[in-house]
Amino acid sequence: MLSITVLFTNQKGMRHLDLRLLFFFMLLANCLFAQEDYTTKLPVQVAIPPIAKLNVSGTTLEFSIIGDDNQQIKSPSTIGEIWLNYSSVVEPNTSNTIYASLTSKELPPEIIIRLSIGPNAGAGLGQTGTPTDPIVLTTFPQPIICNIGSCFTGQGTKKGHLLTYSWDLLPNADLEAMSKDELSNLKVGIMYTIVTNE
Amino acid sequence: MIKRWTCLLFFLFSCFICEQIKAQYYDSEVISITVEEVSLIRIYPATEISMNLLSDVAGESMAPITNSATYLQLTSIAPANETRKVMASIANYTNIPSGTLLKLTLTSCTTGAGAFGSPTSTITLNKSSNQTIINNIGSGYTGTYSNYGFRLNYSWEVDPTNYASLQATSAASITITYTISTN
Repeated sequence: MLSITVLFTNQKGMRHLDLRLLFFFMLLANCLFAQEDYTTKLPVQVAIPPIAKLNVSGTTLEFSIIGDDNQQIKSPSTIGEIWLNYSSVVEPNTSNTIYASLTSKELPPEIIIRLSIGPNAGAGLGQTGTPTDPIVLTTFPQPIICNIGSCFTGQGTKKGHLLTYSWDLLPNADLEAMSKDELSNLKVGIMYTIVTNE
Repeated sequence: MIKRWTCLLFFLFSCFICEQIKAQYYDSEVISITVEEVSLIRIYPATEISMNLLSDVAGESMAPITNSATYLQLTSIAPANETRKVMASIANYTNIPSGTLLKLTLTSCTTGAGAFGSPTSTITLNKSSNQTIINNIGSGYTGTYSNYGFRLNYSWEVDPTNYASLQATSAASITITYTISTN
């Protein structure tokens, strides 16, 4: 703008040349200043923290012993269903694994609990995990669903993996040695943990 | 003889004066009024936008993260029979984390005056090429106060067809470029 003002004040002599110069400077100024205003930029920062969340959906399962002689154990069938739901977002080259373990040691050593894990019911999206073969639950955590990538299973029953428990007696178990009270009030806690494999 | 010289001098003087008058008259005719073309845009407030994709409930999908904190403001004076448009693009769109889509929806401008244009429907920003977000801009302005102009509603969400390719990312930087240009 300064140069343009100078040209105006000195325009007595070479008027035509000055006007041309003036025009040139105006064009130049137009290009220099206008171009920046044609565009504007907005910086955006995005982040995805890793996620590993799981939940058990369903009702408490009850097992009952049939008969006064304590000779038969009935496993739950239609009483209720337990479904394992999870959401997972993994970092590159990692995956999540779900482990199961017993948290209570009240279980008589003659009785074992088997856990079988169904396939993903298909309500969610992404790389859901692969169930392992049925396991016998112990206080030591064992993997039950492996190779979980970024996914979600859906939330609630009929979504995720169906967990099926069954009671079994060890071959040499002597139930008669146990009191009926001992057998009728057993409570067993099972813990599920989702762990990231680096 | 003297009279004749006087007449000649007077004639020459008159010519000179006339010339001066004519020149001055001509000078005042040079003044002209022009309305310069104007096309200016800005994002207000011009602060960085930050978004984190989260999930709170086990089993649920990641919920879309939205941000509507910024406005696009513009001033335009277009020549007759010319309309302008505003376009958006992301040169470094490959920095957008895989398995996610960054979408943009503009809210119509209710401030300002004139033909400040009308927004198009929702676009997905995951590309480097320009996509039109405001059409039919003539001569108009949106105003410059906060909450004036076209509200920019960003929605960052998981691509449902590509969920497994989602990866945890600590921080990714992208730059959205807005351009106003002639149709």
